[in-house]
Amino acid sequence: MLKRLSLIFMLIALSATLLAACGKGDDDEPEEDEAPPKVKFQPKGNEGTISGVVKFDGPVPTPQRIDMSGDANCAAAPGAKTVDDVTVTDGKLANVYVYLKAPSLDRFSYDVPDANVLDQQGCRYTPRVLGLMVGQTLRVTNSDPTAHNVHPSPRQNTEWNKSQPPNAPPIEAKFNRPETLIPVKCNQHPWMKAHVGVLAHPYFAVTDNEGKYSIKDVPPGKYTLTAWHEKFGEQPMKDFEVKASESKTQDFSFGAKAAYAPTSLKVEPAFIVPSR
Amino acid sequence: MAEGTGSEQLEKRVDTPEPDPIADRSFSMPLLLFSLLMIGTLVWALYDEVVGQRPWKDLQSDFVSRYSRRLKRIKPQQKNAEAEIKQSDEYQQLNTAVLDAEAEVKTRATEIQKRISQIDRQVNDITEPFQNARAWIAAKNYEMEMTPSESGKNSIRQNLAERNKEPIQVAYHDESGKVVEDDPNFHELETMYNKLRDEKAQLVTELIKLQAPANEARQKRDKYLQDNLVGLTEQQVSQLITKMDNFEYRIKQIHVAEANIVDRCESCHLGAREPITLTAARSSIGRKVFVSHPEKDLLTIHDPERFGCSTCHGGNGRATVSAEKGHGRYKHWLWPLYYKENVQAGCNQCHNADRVTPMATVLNRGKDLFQNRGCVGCHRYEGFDRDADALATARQSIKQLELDRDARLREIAQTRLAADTAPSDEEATRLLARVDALRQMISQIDAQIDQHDVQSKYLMQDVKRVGPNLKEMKAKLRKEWIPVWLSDPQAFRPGTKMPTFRLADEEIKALSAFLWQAALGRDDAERATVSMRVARQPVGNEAHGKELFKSIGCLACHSIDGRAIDMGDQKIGGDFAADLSRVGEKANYDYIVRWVHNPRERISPYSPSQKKDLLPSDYQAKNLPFRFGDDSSKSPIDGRELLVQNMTVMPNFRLSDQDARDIATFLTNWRRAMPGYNEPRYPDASFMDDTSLFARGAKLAKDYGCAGCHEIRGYEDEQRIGTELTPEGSKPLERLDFALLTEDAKMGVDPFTGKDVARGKWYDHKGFFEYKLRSPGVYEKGKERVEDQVLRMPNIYLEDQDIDALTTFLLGSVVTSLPQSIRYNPEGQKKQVQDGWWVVQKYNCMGCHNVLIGQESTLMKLPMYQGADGKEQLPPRLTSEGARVNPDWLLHFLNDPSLTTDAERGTLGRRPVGPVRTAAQPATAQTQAGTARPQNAGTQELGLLAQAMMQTNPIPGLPTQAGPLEPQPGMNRNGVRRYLKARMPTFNFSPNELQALVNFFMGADAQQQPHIPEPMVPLTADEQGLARALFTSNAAPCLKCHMTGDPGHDALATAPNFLASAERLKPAWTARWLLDPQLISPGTSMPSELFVHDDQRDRWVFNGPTPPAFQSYEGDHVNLLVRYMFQLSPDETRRLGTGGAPAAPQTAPATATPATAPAQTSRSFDKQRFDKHWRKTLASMKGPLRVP
Amino acid sequence: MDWHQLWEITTLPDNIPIVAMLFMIPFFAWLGLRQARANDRLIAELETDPKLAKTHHRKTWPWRPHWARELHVWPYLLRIEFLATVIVTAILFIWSITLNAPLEEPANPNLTMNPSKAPWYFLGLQEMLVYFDPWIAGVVMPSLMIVGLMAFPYVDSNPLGVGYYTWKQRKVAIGAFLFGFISWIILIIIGTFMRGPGWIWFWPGQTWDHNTVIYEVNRDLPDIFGITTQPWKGVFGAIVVAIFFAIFGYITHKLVTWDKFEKKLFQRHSLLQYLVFQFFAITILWALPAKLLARQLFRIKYVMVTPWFNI
Repeated sequence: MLKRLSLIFMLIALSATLLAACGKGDDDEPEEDEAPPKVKFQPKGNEGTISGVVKFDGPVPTPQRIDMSGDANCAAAPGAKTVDDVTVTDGKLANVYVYLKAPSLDRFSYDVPDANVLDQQGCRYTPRVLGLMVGQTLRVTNSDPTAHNVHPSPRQNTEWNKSQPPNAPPIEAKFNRPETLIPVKCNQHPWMKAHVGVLAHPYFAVTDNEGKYSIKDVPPGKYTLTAWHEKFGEQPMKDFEVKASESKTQDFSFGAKAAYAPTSLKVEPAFIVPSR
Repeated sequence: MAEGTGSEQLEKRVDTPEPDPIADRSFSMPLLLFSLLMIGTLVWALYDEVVGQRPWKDLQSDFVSRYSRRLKRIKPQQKNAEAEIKQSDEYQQLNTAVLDAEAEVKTRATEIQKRISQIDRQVNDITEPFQNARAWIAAKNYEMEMTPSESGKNSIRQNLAERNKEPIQVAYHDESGKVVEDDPNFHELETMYNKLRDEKAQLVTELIKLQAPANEARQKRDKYLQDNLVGLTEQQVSQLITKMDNFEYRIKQIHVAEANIVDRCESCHLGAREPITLTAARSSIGRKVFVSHPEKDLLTIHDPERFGCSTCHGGNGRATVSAEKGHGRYKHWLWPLYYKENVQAGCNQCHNADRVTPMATVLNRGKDLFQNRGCVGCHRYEGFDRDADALATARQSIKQLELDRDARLREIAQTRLAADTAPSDEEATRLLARVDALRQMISQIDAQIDQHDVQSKYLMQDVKRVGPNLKEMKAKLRKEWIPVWLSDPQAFRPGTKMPTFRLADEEIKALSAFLWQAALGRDDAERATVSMRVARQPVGNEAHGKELFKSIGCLACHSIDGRAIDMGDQKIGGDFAADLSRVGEKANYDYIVRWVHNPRERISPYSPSQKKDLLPSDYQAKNLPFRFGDDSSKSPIDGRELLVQNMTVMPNFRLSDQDARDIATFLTNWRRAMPGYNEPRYPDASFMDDTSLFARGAKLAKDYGCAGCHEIRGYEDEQRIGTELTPEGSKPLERLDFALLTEDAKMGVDPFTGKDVARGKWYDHKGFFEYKLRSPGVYEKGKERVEDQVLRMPNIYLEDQDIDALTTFLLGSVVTSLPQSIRYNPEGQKKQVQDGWWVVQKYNCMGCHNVLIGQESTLMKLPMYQGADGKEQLPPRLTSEGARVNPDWLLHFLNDPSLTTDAERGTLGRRPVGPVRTAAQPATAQTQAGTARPQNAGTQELGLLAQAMMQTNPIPGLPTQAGPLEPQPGMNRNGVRRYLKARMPTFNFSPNELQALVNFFMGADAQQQPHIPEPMVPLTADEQGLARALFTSNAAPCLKCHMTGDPGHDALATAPNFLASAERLKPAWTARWLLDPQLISPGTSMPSELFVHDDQRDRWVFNGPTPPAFQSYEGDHVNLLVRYMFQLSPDETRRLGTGGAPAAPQTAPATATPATAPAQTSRSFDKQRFDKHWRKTLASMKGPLRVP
Repeated sequence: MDWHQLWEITTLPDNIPIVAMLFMIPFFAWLGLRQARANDRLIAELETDPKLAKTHHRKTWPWRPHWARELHVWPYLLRIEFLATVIVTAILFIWSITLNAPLEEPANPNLTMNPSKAPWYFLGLQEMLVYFDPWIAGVVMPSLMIVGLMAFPYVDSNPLGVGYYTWKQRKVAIGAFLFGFISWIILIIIGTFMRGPGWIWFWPGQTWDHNTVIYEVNRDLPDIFGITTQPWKGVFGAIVVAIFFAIFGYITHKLVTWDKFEKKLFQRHSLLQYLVFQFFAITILWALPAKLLARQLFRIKYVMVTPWFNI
């Protein structure tokens, strides 16, 4: 009989322990790390080359004249007083920024060449479009007898706006994040515009006056090859493949009416007079 | 018993005896069993005590191991970084400076040290015997004082005297360090002792003086290291490591007695306050429990030592037995830990009076939604309808005061009577005096009544409604459209703030019929009024309208289909006000014109005292012209204040008639151009004139609280229909009506999908609010309700994050138990800021401006304001407005942003309102239009729809020719930044709000009020010359961008006119602005580095070639320019060669002419004080400006 | 069936004792009666065999002649007691480790919880409130019970059955006690398991829905008979109560004079003892269950309604 007794007590005890089983959920498994550190890029020698011409079909828009009377020094400066955002010489479009995009490229770090110069001359930026690498120095010089202010307005980089009086020392700056493209403006001479493309890799180029461009030492692989123009927007070309030590040619062509690019406020200041 | 009796049985011997049930039974088995069980339980108890109840122990050990690992990993990195910095020349210089300073004083310092140690030793030697003797003497003295008899005293005196002479044996080390025996008497010993100590004191002070420079240098050096090193120094890291090595395993507790907070959260969340940022990433600490607090700033503002953790986060700060208990996520804990998405609810229990709490973006969003989406129309929430509340109290107290007044009057009469029949003359005089006193009291009461009257006028102006005024419906809306809209607003205008009421068709019919019939235009008199006030308008220029709509700032509040303004096909603009994409399909063109031109203009004024809308007849009765406005807001009938404005926050953009027409035309017409667009056809709505539906509709309108957001005839003073939400967050859970979903909630079942909810049980406030907001009807699921009891809360359009925001807000709406001492109830300027925010948010100032640091205005996000060109067009940032402008000017500006002079106002005159044109107007209208753009109105024709609507316009006898609109002072221009396309509109702020805003800006920048400007030093003649030279020099860009008043030049200008600065700006701010504008307004067109610091003379000089005259100038260039700017006069500008005549009245700021007045007013000039002031300001500026 | 909720109620730390009782009372009742039965058999035999009765002291059946005639407290009693101690200690340990004190949120005067239940041992009283008016249920009944329990020793006129388990010699005492005790426990069990929000009756496994709506009219007995005015209500009630006393007095009498032995005992009673016994037997042992059934089966609220108290 006592055996049974003991059994019953055991049961009570056990059930009690069961009731007590209360778990505490604490779900903290470690999160995965953000991107691993980049490795130095070693050329394997089988790199290819991309080159081509950017054409412009359709009627060439007649450049608008600029009234520089606001600043005597600019008015005095040589060169046509027209807006040169669209520079077309016999059907070839200049100042087009062509660059590669691919995750494979971002895994490496590349050596940064020394400074790239943006000169202010005759109240214009030369070149109008230029490419930079992340961490590469942008040297802005002023060879005008008048004061300018250099005002890049990036989105992913820090914005600055510095005054540069005549024959002042060049302004040097770096952009530490890839961004295509950063507009640069001189607020004192509203017509002065430039665009700076910043990439983490050296595979970009800007078309010259014959509309030619070439990107060298491209490691074989699949890329998105994009051509960008400040007026006509972007033309991305997906799955653009470069085989080992191949030299590819790829032409682009922009038309007068371009893909939709966010239209800025129609600021039509008096300095632009419709040419007749 | 066949075998006979038991005794016989006794004799029988049994061969196999049965065992005795008690004696022969062994208990060892159960004993053993249960003893073991007991021991087992003992062990269990022990384990439970040590481990089971203290889970934080293994957490702590885990943390220690992980953290030390991490520290050891970063230590070498920091070491290298530090080493690099130490290599740098700056550091080397600083370091050498330290060494030099030390070397310089080395010899003397060591001497002193030596001497001090000697003294110490000597003092040490003689202290014991000296104190010994002194103690004995003191004791004796006491004894003597206590001795009663003189003889006794004498004997002790003698005793003392002897003792004083007695030599005391002392042995001390002398300078050379060998021991000297000596036996001075007490006095000698005392003097020696004191001498030594004095000497030591002197030496110590000298030593400190000596080492001061060295210490200073050292601090400089270390500071440099700190400034340039990212993260901790190696030393600090190793300190942390040691801290981990001898880590104390115990409950880490924060205890705040005053608030009765006991938080042991950090027993597990050990990383929360570590100096190194720890994340859950593998490379970091790798466990969520240990991550550091994401907002270091918050922790500095709300120091946990003072505020604890659970105060903000909720949860059971005391519990340590399990995460579940600690986080308070169990039945009996009423304040569970807030979930991640609602964490900011914690802010609200102390910051509930703040409309905007910096850093609490989600909470703020919640409050915005609560106000903008019209929740406040049905639910009372303390603070959210302050104007209405204040108005109510004001009216109440007026009644009260009037009663008092009568009482006093009665008392006067009685006292007089008493005086006449007073028993004695004294009594009489006393009573008469009393009468006089009462008279004065009455005058005081009158003053109060007047004050309240004025207040109620202002407040009436401040009270706004979320929805449009439905009294003007007949003039505004297309009749057939109304029922369509009511049945499903989202269908017509996705995302609209008009909620969807769950109405049956017949209900919709009744409701729309009622609204239509309740609107103005019931009888001929009203129709006549409406048609007089809403005149026919000619068609405008769509293209120009579009341009204006894009640029003038409409998009800061309104949104529109991107295709309308060639900006992609997404909806674009702000969500503060309606989406205007399809406004043309519902609204009458004439009305839109009128509305765009001046939204505040009512068709007829409403008299709260009479509860009726006044008609011309009411005015004629008193033969007054039918005219009302801010300047004539008294009722012709009873002289009480009238409601003379539409209760909308939409401001007046001071458009010319033509521009208003253009915008209206654009809004009405743009969609016709779109491919595949066809004019919508709405079902016939003749039933809306069926008067039999009126009563039913009226009831519905009442039940569903339409009047909470809309102005409806007969419902002007309607009360809110919803529950008050102020304490909703701390409402007992049982009081929240989960209805039939209670079980689902407890089981964690989603009522929509029937699946399990991710976070499990949702039987809590969060769950209730979320489902209620997602679909208010949900708690009616499966319930049978008769009409009157049906849940009336409509379906509101809310994105998921909106729901989170509102939930956060509601969760935070608690009756807090925290003591006043740790809650946020600011005073003085902070209070002003707190109050100001309500106005700022009410009118959506943040749609155009950056008011809160780190906040982006709606415009800033729009594509057309990207890039340098766009940025030039952005409205100014106001984060430093208080420091920038003179409050008096600000008041003036906010009141009339066009800064119109009285002279200009005079020229406008006031036309009699109505279709009749006087000779004057077309001319003015022409000129105004002319200034806007080449006149080509009427060339276009309206969309079919608009035309259709003109036909269906319910108002008969509309005049055919264009009716004039109220003239607008300061038309088509900004007061200050005339170059901006975006226009600062006129908000018709009441004086209350003007004050609130000015105080807000001043308070935000801790500016003293009233503002007494710094005395401005007049420029000497040659200083003037210098400044002018600098201004005009090539190198100086000033006049290239800043307006001068010369129209030709100003066309290019992108910055305000200097002439305004004198009375607008504050010199100190101007100087800082000149030095680095990017600090104050990042992205501004004004360049930095215009000046460089000249360290020799400690001043700022112009960066670039200065005119030769400057070689001799000693002063500070910034200072010079500021003074020049503040004393600039129109003819001086002209002398600057920009030909800036004080231009035509509508371009030159009215304020310009006497610009130099404040500067030249006879303020005595105190050179020293002035220079001191400037040196101070500039010195204070150098610091931050050095860093790039 | 809502097993989840049933489980929640049974595992509520507060309810552990009553749940345990569900098992333990029958068990111990059975244990005791079993022993009693054995003794009764023995007694029967000894009565037939005086010789044996003289020599024999152990009251255990079946007795074997070669068994020890006497057993000493040590070790035979103490070892059992010791075992019991060990067991109880162990149970207490387990209990105190596994189940924490059933603390709830701080009391909120603005919000009484629903259902708001007394601790388990008072639930019987609370349940009684359903059947009698507060005065009776809260004051009169409890004190009557206590007084009754105190009185029982004095109304006991039975010389036998002391110091050992027996049924035959103490039918009335044991029967009365078990009846009272078990009905009390039943009240507690009802209060624990069957009373949900609003003290509404829920069968075990029926969901305790806060929004439950039930239709239930309880009427006073007089009203049923159309007597709606005082003092007649009171008078009528008094009569009914009197009749009740008469009937159940008779039944009790029949029970206590069931067989010869009982009759003998009845003879030994003084009148006072008898009346006292009758009074308590009727007012507590009979009235309580009677009222319970009247309420649950016939929805009768009160039998006797007076301005001062109701029964």
